[in-house]
Amino acid sequence: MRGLGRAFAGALIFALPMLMTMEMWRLGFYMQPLRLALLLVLTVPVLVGLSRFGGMRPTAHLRDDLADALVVMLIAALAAAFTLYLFGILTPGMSPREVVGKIALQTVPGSFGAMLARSQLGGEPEGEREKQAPTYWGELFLMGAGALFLSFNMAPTEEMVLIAYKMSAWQSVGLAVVSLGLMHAFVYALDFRGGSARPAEIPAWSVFARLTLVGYAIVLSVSLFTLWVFSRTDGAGLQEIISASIVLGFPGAIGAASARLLL
Amino acid sequence: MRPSDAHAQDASGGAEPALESTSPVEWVIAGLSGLLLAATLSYMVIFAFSEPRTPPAVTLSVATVTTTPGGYLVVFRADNAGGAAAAGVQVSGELREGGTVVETSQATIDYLPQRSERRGGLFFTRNPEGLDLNLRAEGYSEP
Repeated sequence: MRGLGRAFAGALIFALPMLMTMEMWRLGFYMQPLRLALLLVLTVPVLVGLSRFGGMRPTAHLRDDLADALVVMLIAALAAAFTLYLFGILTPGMSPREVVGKIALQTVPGSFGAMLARSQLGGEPEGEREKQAPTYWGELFLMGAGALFLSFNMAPTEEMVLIAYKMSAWQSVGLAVVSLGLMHAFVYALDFRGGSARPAEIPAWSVFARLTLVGYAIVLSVSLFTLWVFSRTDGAGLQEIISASIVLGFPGAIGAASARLLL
Repeated sequence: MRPSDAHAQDASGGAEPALESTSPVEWVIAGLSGLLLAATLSYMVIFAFSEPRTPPAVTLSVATVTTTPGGYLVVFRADNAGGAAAAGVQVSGELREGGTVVETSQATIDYLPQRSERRGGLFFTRNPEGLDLNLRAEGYSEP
């Protein structure tokens, strides 16, 4: 029961910025329904994966992770419905499509937050629960999830496309290089708690290529996917799409790096 | 407490935490959640395939007419019966007296989703009661 309360709190903490973003309310009704459905479907395996690497409780079986993922989505939906109602954003006179869309969209960040609440705000002290060291694929997954979470925060806003308009091609290239550098530095150079020391026998370029470079490719793909889901790529030229992906990839890269530190 | 390095082949030697399994109550909640998720998905998919993307069809109707310190307020209701949302819907109201327009007012509705209603108001200095009030949606942009 306390776990459910914690999940509710987590859903609120992580989803509040989006619950209070105008574009998110609008996307609730003008977003393409099939893309919203796809987003919801993809959320389930991501939540199951997050549950494996932290989640609400140490789980024995994959089906327990699935149960947690579903519970967390319900809690996130309730938290979103409750908050949006209090804000006066769900009112009578709205079509079911609008109400369902608004709540369903907010369920995605909310359920991420609820799932992370256990690993970040969990009651028991760190270290009591030995964390499984993620495998290489696990690390890639965590980077993708971190990138998805942070880019989800930014992608709905008008500013992403606006920044992409304002940047010259050189500035875009510069931003991509900076994102890569920060991603690498966050995990290996700055020595945060949870950071990784590069084992001496593995050369630096290998770690950079296998983790940071691959990670950034994942970040860019996640950015592109998020932009597409929110219909930001529709009718846009290739240069604009790439530029917007790099802009969104900047927070995504930070999110990917932090996910490796935090989870 | 520094978590073990991600790349070291680290056989977990420490005490294994007790693995919790799912209680029946949680399974019930999980089942309900799964049903809700499936329902939402089906709704969205059915909506996507059954609802033709007809253009916005806006009808305006007068909800109330009240007096304000500066004159009169006509609160209108805008219904979008179409299958697409409209942004920046411009609403104009004309007061006519015997065929000639004596006063006009305008309002903009930021977003009018499909199959939904929104309200807005038009201010007039003359009393709309007794005059011909004509409401019209002038245009919109796609969100």
